[in-house]
Amino acid sequence: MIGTDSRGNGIRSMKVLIIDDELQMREVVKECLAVISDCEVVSASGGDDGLRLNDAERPDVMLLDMLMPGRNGFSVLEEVRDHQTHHRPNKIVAMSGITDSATVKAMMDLGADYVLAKPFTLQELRSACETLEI
Amino acid sequence: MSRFGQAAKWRLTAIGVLIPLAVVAVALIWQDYESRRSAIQTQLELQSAQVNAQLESFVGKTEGISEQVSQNFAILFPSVQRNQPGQILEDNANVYLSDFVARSESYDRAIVVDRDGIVLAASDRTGVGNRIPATKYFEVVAGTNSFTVSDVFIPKKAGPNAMFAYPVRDELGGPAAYLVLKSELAAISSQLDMTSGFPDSAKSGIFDSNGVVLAGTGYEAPHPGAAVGKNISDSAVWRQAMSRPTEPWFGPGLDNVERIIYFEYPENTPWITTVAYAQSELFNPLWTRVYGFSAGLGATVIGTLLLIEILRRRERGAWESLSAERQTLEAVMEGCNDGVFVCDISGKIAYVNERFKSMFGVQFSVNSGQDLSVLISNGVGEGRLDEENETALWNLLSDDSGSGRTTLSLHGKSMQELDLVSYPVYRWDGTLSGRTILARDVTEERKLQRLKSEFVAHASHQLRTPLASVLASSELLLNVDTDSAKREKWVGVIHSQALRMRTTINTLLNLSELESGRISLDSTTVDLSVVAASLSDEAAARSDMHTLKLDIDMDARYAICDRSKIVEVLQSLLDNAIKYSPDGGVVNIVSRRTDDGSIALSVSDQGVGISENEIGGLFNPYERASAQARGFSEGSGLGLYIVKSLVELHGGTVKAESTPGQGSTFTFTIDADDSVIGEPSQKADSNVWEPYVQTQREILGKISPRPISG
Repeated sequence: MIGTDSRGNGIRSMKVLIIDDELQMREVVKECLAVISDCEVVSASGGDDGLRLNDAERPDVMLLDMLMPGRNGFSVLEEVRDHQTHHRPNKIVAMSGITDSATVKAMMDLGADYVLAKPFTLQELRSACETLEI
Repeated sequence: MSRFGQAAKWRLTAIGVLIPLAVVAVALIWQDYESRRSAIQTQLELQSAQVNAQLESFVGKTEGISEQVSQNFAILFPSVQRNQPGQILEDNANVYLSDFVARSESYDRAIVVDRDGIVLAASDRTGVGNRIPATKYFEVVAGTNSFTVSDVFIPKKAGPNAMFAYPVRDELGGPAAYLVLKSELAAISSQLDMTSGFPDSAKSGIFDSNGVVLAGTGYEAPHPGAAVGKNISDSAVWRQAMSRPTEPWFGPGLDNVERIIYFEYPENTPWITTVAYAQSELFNPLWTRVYGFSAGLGATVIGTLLLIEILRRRERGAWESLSAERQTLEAVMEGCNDGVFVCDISGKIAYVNERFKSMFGVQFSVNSGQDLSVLISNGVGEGRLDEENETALWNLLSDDSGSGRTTLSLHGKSMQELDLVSYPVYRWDGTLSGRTILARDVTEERKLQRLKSEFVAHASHQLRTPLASVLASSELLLNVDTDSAKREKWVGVIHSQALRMRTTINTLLNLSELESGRISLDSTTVDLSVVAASLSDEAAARSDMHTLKLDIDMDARYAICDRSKIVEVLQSLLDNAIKYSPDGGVVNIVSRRTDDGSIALSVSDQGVGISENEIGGLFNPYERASAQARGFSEGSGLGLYIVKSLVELHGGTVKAESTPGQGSTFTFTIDADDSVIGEPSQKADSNVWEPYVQTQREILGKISPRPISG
């Protein structure tokens, strides 16, 4: 499986930041990632927390929920894009339950590399990881 | 197009019919008159010629007879040739003349006179040897050597006589004496066919050169004008006769009747014959026809007028029904919510309803020659319409026969979206007569559409979020070998998220039930203190940061309502109070009697509050949901809408007050049940909370160190 190959090819050092207001979601995604690869996972429950953690942990990949109370995913994308002071992860995956073409385009325009439609299966998360060579 | 125009058209038509009819009638009458006149003239001419010919024939015959008799007389009595004045002839001469007269029908006396007027012989032997009176006729006769007709001789006791003289020649051929034949004119005229084929009014007569009536039909005595023997020389007829006309004369006859008269002048006589018709003969049938034609013409005129009146009435009827239809149509147009604009083919405004005017904010005036350009220059100009929209509008309006649709965005105090549909208008014969534009204000519709689609997106987000956890958790359970502790955890996640989904779905179903109006109330007496206490206890149990206080007045404790629905209302308000005070604080539930006797129940928090512009749309389901979707905050956003609907279902009202940063208060009213005041123990659902109610303002809520979520 690709997952095992990826795991064997030095993704060991890869750091992933999950930003989602749903605790269960954070945990489930973290577990799923653990199944797919050996990456190190940190998570935050909101936009502001996420940005702080992003700058502190400097992750390679950011899994970002778009719809959150307080600072939402769009705002986070804007912050990262517009301000050099913020760390810019290699890949940003936007997770959203709203995936009409206009919204997807808005996410991409704001700098998302991949849009993962909620709800997603393990296989879909795996495909995303493959595409992004995580 | 106007009713009066139509009437004028009918009048023109009538005139157009009547004038030719009149012309034809006059032409026919004239033709009739002419043919009649010409027929009568011909008849008169013939008649006149016949009378004349007969008279001439009689005179000619008399000449022949006179010649014969005078020659024979000269042979028989040669002494007369010797020209010895006063020589009386032998009696046989008288016998000869007498025999001649006896044989003749036309002559009643014959004499022979010498050149001095001495009677030489006479058929009746009277006056022989005497000189006959020197009459005018004799003066004319004497000295001539040919046949002579005397003028007239009227004896005192007899009718007019005509005298015919012929010379009795001597041996040299000169006149030695004269044979004079006397005829009564009545006898002559009886031989003339003077009346054949004459109408009753006809006359025919013979006059001598002095104007004495000699004979005639219609001149018998007593005659109103002149009878035989009378002299008519002072009459207009006579003056006309003396001018010897060759054409018929129209004028008053002797009896002052207008006549058409022919005069003839027989040869060898001084006489004049006349044939006369009363002019009534000429005009009688004519007048009959004139009357006939007039009657026909009158009937035609009356018929035409009647037809015009009938047509006018029909037209008026049509006009009235058309006008009623127009009134109805206008009422409909004015009443309808769409703007209606109609213009003719040149773009001139034919009709515009009030709604259209208010939409565009322009005072269009019909019949003022304003055209479509007003719509653009005044209506949507002044920066209210951007260039793209203006082009679309022009295209719509300038399309001749097509129908089109466009949506305009008008900039004004607020953005206004108008949906414009344009149709060509055709006449009955299929030619283009103009264009109608229907404008619909779709601002609200579009807004609602947007809100609804945002709501749907938001609701789907509300379902997808827990579903994502459920899906991922179940996959982990299915695909990955995990220890039992972790398995238990995933199952727990699935369970809690499924519950969350159920809540969302219930809310949606609730909403659908409310919106469809199929909900019913099961009202009973409800002890609000019990309900509020139970709910606040539950709420307090979910949050360790909030303090819940219950403050219920004694007289605001019992309400008449559907318990489950009021529970839902309070639950929702409490949930919100906790949700929007994330930093904790006190949540107060207060129940008071209002001035109008109902109960006002309020829930207030010390949370973030609601901004002024947000508070307006707070109870609007889609507004609220959309605001939340834009802010991507938690909650279905339908809670307050459901609260409002349930309260209103009970006949109450709900309102929100808030100071941003300091908290919000939601208050709803509900009917009080006064029948239980004073005997609370009997009607109360439970007396568990009795102490709190009686003491009032007792602190109820307590801190429960249980986290909201795992």
